[in-house]
Amino acid sequence: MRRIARLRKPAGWLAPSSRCPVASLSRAQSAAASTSAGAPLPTASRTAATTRLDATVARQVRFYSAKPGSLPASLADQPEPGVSAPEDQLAALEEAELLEEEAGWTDAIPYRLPPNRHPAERPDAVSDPSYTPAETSDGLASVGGLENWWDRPENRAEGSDFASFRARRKVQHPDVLETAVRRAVVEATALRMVGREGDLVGSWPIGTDVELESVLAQDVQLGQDGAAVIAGDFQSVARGLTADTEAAETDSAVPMPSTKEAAAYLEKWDSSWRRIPLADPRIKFAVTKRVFQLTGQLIPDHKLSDIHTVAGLLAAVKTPPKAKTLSQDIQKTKQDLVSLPNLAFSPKRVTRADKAKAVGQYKIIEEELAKRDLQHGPLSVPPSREKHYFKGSA
Amino acid sequence: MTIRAIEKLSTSQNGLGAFILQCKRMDIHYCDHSGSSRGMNAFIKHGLQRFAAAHPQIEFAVSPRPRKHPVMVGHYINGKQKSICVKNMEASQILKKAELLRDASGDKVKRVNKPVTSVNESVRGVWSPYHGDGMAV
Repeated sequence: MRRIARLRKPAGWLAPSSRCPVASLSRAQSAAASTSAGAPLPTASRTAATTRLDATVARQVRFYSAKPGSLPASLADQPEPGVSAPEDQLAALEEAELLEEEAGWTDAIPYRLPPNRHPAERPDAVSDPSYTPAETSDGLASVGGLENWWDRPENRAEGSDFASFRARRKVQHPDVLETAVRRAVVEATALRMVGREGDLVGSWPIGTDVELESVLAQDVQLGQDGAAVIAGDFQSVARGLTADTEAAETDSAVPMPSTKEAAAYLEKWDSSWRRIPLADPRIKFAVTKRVFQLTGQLIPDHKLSDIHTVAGLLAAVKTPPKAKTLSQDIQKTKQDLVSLPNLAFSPKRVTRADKAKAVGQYKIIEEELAKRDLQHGPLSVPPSREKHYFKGSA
Repeated sequence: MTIRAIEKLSTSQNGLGAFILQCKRMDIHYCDHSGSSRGMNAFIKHGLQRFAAAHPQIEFAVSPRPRKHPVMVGHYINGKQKSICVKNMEASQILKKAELLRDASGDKVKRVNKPVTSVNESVRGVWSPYHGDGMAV
């Protein structure tokens, strides 16, 4: 699978786009000049050369970030070269780029691109007089291909994987979910009360255990005007939502109370806070977004329009997910059926191999096949794996 | 006054001392997603428990068969099988089919055109032209 790196500060489009094509164009000109000086290349190799140059152009234009020092030395240190740049400057540019390619990835490109193609010399144009073309592949070095290039860990920088907004661990306990909803409501209310309504739609830091306790200790109630009001120190809550998001993203552990602590919180809270309205779409978005960030519970769009109060949100969040299969459903809800002595319930399809295993025939089949040198692995491999074998892979 | 015999219903015992159900095993296949299995899924969820508990001598094997119509297969003590496709049926209809499989003997369905059938040999024996007094032509 091809991985797409996430750039933390994606301002790289501001990279000197005027510079790169110029440098590459000049490279293309020099390449074209050298080509025309030598023997005429066939069309295919000419296309390959052009594609290579295009790829270089694309690489230079695309992935530079605005971090200081993230630009390659060739582009960051040099003044903007014009079309009429001197030849020695162009040569220096090329050398610097080559050095960079050898060094592998940089901060701006957190993965290693496949190396450029270097076509071998044509047999009739080899300069070495002792060269004789090989007739067999014996003794030739195997250089390998680009299979699974993007899956190889050595081609990606550490931490370049996509960092999701969703919590890694999905919270499903109803009491813990209610504390998360309460936290989201308190935080959204605090931001509204301090007048930072623009931050409602922004990304908030996950915070620490201490911040979690202080937020859950706040008393949020339904005000006279029908809006939520925090009786305590709401300014400190709002202040906690301005921390550096970069630092918060690196810490993947979301502070969450245990089930016992959550039950204790629920006893302490009055149920009137559940009547807090979520009619304001900005508040509703802020709360649902925060719940998604903290618990991994995403409210589907079709349910959003039916949620008008916190109680509605709690009902939507706490509803256990529907069983995906009948066997899951029966295992969960129909234990009297599963416990019957004359009934066997299989969660997966019963195959021929399962039937052979049930009567002890499977081992004998495998032994006999191995004796005849017909099958060495287990018989029950999936079709995709079999295809893999047929293609010659081990 | 007419004398009447005592009315008594005969109990079917297969000629032996106890009644043995011919169906020994029932395979029940369903699909999780296809609509033709809706009734079957409802039967498994709500009707199978009572049916299976009432027939402890039958072994029930429930397993999914993805992307296929629901099927019930009865296995009989004579080694034969009987399959019924129950696609698009309601749970009550499927219960009827399960009872049909339970009551089946496992034999091939044959045309019966004689009023009496018996597995016992005739007491008169088989007629032979070489035995007896012969017939004057």
